[in-house]
Amino acid sequence: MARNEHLKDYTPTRGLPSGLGNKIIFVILAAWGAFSVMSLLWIVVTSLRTDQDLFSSPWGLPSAPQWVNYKIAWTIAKMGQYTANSVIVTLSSVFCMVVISSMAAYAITKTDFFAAKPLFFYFLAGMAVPASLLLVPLFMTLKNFNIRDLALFSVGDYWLIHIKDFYLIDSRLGLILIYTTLGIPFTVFVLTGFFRTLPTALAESAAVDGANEYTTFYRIFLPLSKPGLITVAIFNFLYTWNEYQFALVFISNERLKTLPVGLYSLALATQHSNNWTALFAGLVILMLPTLLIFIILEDRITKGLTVGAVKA
Amino acid sequence: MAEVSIENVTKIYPGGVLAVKDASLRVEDQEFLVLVGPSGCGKSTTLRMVAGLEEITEGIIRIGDRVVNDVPPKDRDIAMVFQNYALYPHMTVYKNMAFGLKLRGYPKAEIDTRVAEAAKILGITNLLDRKPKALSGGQRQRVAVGRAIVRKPAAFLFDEPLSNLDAKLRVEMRAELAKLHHRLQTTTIYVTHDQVEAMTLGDRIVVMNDGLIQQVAPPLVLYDYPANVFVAGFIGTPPMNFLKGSLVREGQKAYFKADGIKIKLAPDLAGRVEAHMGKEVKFGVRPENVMVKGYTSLSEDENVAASQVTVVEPLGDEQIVYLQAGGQDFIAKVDSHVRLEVGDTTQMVFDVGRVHVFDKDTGVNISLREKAAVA
Repeated sequence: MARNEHLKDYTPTRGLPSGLGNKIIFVILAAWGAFSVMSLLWIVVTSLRTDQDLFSSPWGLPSAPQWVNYKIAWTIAKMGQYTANSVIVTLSSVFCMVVISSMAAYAITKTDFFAAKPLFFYFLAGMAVPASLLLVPLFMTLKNFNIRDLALFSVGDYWLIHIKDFYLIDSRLGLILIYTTLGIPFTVFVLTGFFRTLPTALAESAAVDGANEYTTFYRIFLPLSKPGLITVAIFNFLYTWNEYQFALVFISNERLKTLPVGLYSLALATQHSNNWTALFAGLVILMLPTLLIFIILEDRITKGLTVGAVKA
Repeated sequence: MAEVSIENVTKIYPGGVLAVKDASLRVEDQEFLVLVGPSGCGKSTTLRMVAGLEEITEGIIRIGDRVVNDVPPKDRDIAMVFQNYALYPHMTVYKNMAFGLKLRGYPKAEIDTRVAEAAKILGITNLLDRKPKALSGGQRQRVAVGRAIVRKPAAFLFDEPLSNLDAKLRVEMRAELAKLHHRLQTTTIYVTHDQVEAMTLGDRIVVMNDGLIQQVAPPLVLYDYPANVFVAGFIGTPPMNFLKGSLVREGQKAYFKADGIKIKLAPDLAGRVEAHMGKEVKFGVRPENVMVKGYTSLSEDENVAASQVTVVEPLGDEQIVYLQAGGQDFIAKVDSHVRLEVGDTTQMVFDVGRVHVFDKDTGVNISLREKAAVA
């Protein structure tokens, strides 16, 4: 309740806005909205047409829905494989980001950690580095990190840990590590703001009750920070799901490509095979999760924009 | 149950802020000790050091026979009630109360019994399934207390637990806490800035100011024999009046003398302040010990000052009268049937058997008998 205190006098505008300036803004936004929706609809409609239909009448409606386009995209164009890769990479990255960042944010805001402030600024500095600047150094680092044959801890003749052919280039794990690293500064920043709104007395109360730092974090602060965690998870999901540049540079194996890169391969392929409508089906597959997340969690996404910015 | 002792404890915060200086205290087993003082006096810091939530810069804290300086809060066998309750918002009342027991590995049946018992004592049995946000301030306070008592700790620590409640509820909860202490007889350290809470709850009261312990004494001793100007002014509403002037001896008699005021000191008091004759002092008298001539049997010729009424505040059963004599302001608490109007000049009688004389520079009460001072 207290968080929305500043909004208590705010009444949402219903119907057309008043004032000439507002009306102009409304018209521009409405035009923009209509353009965006039309583009999306056109992609969806086109994905259900045949190539001949498309070229004879680009704005027409499908005579009969061509669900086969989706089948082609999913199987022949390997969108199924790309989707699986994207799901694995995105979910793992988001999970790692949220786990690591929430612990860091907790340590920065709620413990006596002596280097809390420098650490916070260190993370903050991470947000200032353009990601594309990291491409070359990251590539060199990951390229050099490979284990061809490493055996550790033998018991008699048996090796307990035996690593063979472990690479970070052209590997989903490598991509997950990169995404996690890139996402941590932003996530720590947002969660730090969120944790600051939670009373420190809760940590003290838990300490007196018999909790150690880990229990306090896991049993008290993590459940309480659920709204913040969901928000950062959504933002990171959207970024990682749509990420193209790193996925393109670090993955060349066809079997490991993520959706955005896979879609580009499909686009290249369609230039020669004249299967444009399957490409549109692939586009729909790519944007579907994003779109669903926006529709279901719209409220949380808009609220999330101010997470941590307003003190509770 | 245990004694808590604080020996020469000092707390300096990073940045050099001195919060508590060389504090020594001994809280007896089953005692209810209240730390009282204005904001920033170090009372909460002292309590938090006992809880283990603040590190000690110097000194020793013992709970029972054990030195707990380096013992984490969870292993100190204490329970604490916070000013803002600090209930876990995502847990029900039951879970809030059971949390500490669960972490300590108590069996489920034992937890259930203890929570039910505490809930019954506090009258919150019907609230066990609710979450804190569905409770009123008073109910939350009860849950916070319940969370402390289920643990059956060696000592309870209360950090201004009633300051978030409205006035009426505060009075009710105050009485309940007193009852609870009577019933449980657990060593308790209670921090408050409210002197009424301190006076009504404490077996003994510790008055603190600027990080220093000013006096430790039972409530009435503190009231009747304040060790210094600070304690005298802090305890009591309205506060004690302080008049500036000097002590003079005229023949056999000793007087406190200021512009327009000349009050004869009682012979035993005069004897105690003999060393300060001729020096400037602060003369302390509580508002209830200033009376209107004609309405008291204490009036003599030499304990009266002609005073002008500046403000009258009727309270129903009594009235607070603001007066001025010789350019100095003071307050009297008089019966409401005494007719006084603003602008009246009246003869005010000082009960010289109950006045205090303080050193002008050090603020020390120089009129105390030695034994009272140490109490």
